[in-house]
Amino acid sequence: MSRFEQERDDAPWEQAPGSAVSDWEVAAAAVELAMLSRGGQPLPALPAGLVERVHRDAPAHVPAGGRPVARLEALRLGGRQPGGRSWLAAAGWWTAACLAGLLLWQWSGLPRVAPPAAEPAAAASLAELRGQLLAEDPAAVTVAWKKASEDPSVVVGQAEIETTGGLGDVVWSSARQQGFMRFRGLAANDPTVAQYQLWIFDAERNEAYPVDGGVFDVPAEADGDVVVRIDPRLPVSRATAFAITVEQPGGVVVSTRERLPLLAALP
Amino acid sequence: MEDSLLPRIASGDQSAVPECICRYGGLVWTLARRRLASREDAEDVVQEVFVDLWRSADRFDPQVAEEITFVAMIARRRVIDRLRRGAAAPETASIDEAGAAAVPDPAGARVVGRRLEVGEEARLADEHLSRLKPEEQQVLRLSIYDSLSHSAIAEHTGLPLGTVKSHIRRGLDSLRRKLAGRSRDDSGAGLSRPAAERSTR
Repeated sequence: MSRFEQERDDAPWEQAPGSAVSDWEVAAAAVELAMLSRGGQPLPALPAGLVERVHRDAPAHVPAGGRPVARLEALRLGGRQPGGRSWLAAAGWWTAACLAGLLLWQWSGLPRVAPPAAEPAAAASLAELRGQLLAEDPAAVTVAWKKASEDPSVVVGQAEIETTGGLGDVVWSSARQQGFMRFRGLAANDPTVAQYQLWIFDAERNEAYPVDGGVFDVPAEADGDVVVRIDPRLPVSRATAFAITVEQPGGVVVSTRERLPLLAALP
Repeated sequence: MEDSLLPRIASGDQSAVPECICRYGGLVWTLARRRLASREDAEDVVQEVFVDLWRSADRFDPQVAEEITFVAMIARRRVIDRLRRGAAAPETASIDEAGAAAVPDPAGARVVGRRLEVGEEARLADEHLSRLKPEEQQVLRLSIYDSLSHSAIAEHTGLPLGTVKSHIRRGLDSLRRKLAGRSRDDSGAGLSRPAAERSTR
């Protein structure tokens, strides 16, 4: 038995598939969900090919009976099931968009990426919250992003962006432990391949272990400034710098900092 | 809070299957992908998790856990099982490795991602975490969220191994008692925890 396995045997919150469900596991899952939700970023979508495979597996394991029609093709937008209920009407807006996306993809064979309907409103709201934070906390600092390397995450033409309006900035309120990042010219990422991750350097912590500020995405359809809320995992006593790295989906515990496109250092 | 889907699946309502994939696919994919360096492993795990969900849908009990927590728990099991079978701590692939491992989707198609809408249990967990000392929060995060082994956490934080173990156990123990108490309050009749111990296939 490996050391890893031995240690896991001491952890009742990590049971093997098929074990009895314990409240330790429920607590651990709730903790993981809480931490995942702290970033406030959209979850990466399940790749369409994988959706197909998961859907194909289902009939063999879902008990027979009840409502028929398991085929995606039958879930027509606005259509009604034999029971008289429109599933798309009954589902939330996002589920409806997802199911519609599945249908379009299946029917046309063409790539379909439905933009999240709430995104424009959410972006506007974050920009407003940023302004609000600046207005309400006079001690909040604003520091401009600087290019830290020739990383392609900062799009071509960034020199021009820097000259005219900069790459964006960071607003940070130490008192509120809140902040916002604004980006211009940061390349869109595919969250199934890579995500941006924020790191906050704290004068009272070892520089080798900056505070993880969470992962975020720059959507391809973003137009103009992209505003992202800062939600540090740990309290930041005295921020000295903010850095953006490019990491695997979900981020990493310790970054190698091999790809570090942007840095904002406080004077 | 959205309606539960697993009871519908348990009753044989196959039309709930695509809804379930849409609702939880991104979550399960995130939980798998953020720990498993290999994209192929992550895809296999996602398939296994959904098979587990279809098979154990009738064992979902909303008095024991919310549906999203139940799904996250099943996903955690499969991911941890995959890590154990690899007999190695989770890897952190470089961005180039992750990119090289990426398998293009058919015609680049993707289903749109969604924001995580957590339930009351995760909100209670968040409150609970915020009341812990920074050191305790960090240890719990490294263990539960990052799946680091106790010894790796001790190495990373510089804390003694015993302290790491006690931080994790104490932090989770108080949360689980809080969640169990909430279940009792909600049910009015009291939830027997042994009753909550139901096996999943």
